[in-house]
Amino acid sequence: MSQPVLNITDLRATVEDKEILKGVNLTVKGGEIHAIMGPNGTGKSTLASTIMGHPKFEVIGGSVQLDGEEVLDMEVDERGRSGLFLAMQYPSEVPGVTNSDFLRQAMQAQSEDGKDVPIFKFIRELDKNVSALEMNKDLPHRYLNEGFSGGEKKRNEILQMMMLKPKIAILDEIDSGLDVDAMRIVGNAVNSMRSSEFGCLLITHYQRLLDHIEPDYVHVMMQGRIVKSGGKELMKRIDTEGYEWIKQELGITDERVVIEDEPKARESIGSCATSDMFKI
Amino acid sequence: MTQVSRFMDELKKRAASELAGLSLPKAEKTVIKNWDFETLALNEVAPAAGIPAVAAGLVKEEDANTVIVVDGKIVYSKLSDSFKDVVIAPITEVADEHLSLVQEHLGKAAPYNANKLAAMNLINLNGGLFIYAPKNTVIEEALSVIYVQQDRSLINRNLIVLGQSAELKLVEAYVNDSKAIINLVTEVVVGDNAKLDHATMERLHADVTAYNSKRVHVQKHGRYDLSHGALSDGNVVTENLIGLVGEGAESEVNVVAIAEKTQKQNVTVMIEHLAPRTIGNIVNHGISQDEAQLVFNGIGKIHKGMKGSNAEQESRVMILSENARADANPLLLIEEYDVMAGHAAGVGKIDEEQIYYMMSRGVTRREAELLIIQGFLMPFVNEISNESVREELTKTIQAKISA
Repeated sequence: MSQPVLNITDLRATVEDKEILKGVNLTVKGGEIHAIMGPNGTGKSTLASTIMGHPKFEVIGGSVQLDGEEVLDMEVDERGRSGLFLAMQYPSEVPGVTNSDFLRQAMQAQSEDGKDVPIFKFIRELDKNVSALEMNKDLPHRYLNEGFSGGEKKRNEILQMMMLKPKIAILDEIDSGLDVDAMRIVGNAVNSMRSSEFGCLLITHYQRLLDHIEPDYVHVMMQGRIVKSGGKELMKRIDTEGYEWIKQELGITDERVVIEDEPKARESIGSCATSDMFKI
Repeated sequence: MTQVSRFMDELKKRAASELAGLSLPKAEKTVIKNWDFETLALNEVAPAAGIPAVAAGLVKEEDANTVIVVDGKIVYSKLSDSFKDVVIAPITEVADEHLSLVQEHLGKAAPYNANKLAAMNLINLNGGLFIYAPKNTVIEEALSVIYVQQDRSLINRNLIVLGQSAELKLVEAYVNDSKAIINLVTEVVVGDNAKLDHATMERLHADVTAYNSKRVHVQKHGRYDLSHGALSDGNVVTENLIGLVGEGAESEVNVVAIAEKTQKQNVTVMIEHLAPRTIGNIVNHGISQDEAQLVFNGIGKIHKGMKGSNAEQESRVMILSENARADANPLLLIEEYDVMAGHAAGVGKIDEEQIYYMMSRGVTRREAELLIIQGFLMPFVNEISNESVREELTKTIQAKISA
């Protein structure tokens, strides 16, 4: 296997006709860990979702290439099979589908020759990763994310990443909902994947996670683009001084492009009947 | 003529005299007045012995405790020693030693004049079993009964009686593969402290019109659990009506229904709390696709004075096609203050967020949809105790949803 390269060029995207990404440029190579920081509402999560192909976001310009292939021309599942992985901020719950059945099907979909994933190898690897993430042993038999705590969901995203071994992983606020111990465990897990065949893009607005996963590059996002890039020293300065100095330096008064709201659970409710409707 | 058949003839006469005044069952939200329940073919038949082809998938040679009934006649029966104390007989040939049981129970939970179809069922009955587990009979193994319609209308009436503290697992399947009128009434009495684990599956042909009614009484501290798979291709009115008549009686009813092509499925589940401290739980899950219509009516009724009771229900339908229709009607009728009750109901499409999430891991849209639908329906299947039936059910569901 070779060193993967994700090339994001002048990426622009809208949601409900409002432009959120206003020209993002970034290259992530195998062996590198990039952190994208920035206050809320500056387009960080939109970047992650747009790369993965969430239907809510419409690309209006630019390109995203993985190893020279245009990702933006692919369906979501093709993006997954091409080696992209997004650890989501709000992973869906899927009742009735067990974690292990789902993982096995996903691995099956990703196996290059379409061969069956050997069951014993699968179980061995799953067990190993479940222990590495200090998750409950019954996890494989539980339904996908159903009834999981926030922290469990995040660990489950990392578990899927470890099993699927993507070329490029984007971790969207993987630290939210994690306590100190879980942060260390997740950090160790990501570090264990470090190799020239794996590149990683961390999205966070806290510096805490970066105590555990040391990034090679740090980028600050404001107003829908990357406004400043640097190394660890940039991260340290943000940690002590916040973002105000960057805004001043760049003459930015309002860094936001969107007020990100949390997804609501959707449910249609049947009609409530009245008492004389039924007589049996 | 036996005393039992004399008693039944007497009931039939009464049913016949009241028939003209009875109307069709109330299948809320489905118009059934033009469904043909009445052009009955009641010719004599002589089915061949052995396992008919249509039931082949449901029973393996090595399966123990299986009874196959074709057009009302038992053609195959294999029972282990565990069932030596259990009476299993055609409803038309019940021995006189059980006269008092039949007199006490027949038509009580399932009155012959409940509606026109119930009356027609008794008047024309040409099949069905009397199953009686006497007091303290506890059997771990499951009994499987497969009812096959072949060469005439199937008018089937079962009477299932569990004596005090008896425990039984009963799996029943109704199958056929051609046009027919099918009228099924199953009357169940679960005695004091007794327990019936009942799984039923119905897989009938697209040109079938069927009425499938189960009426159950659960006595003091008894328990009745039902898993019903409404997997027919034709038009079906289904009723699962449970009366918790004894203090502390409990019932849990799980229904899974699939409606597809142009079929109509109307499923009513009612748990009626007729004694204090009774517990009822209804869970209905279904899918509706193509141009089909699926209706779930869930009813929890707690009568006045039945303190300490709990009535819960949940009905959910996934609509998989633009032109498919579905209704989930939850109804709680509560006449007592000191109770608990709750309902949830929903009709909707597959959540696009779930699809996106699963696709992002590399599975195709179709694979993701199938996983979600299976996950929505499968928990029901896992409740079924007979392995052959469980496998067949899984196959049927998979074939229906991946068509």
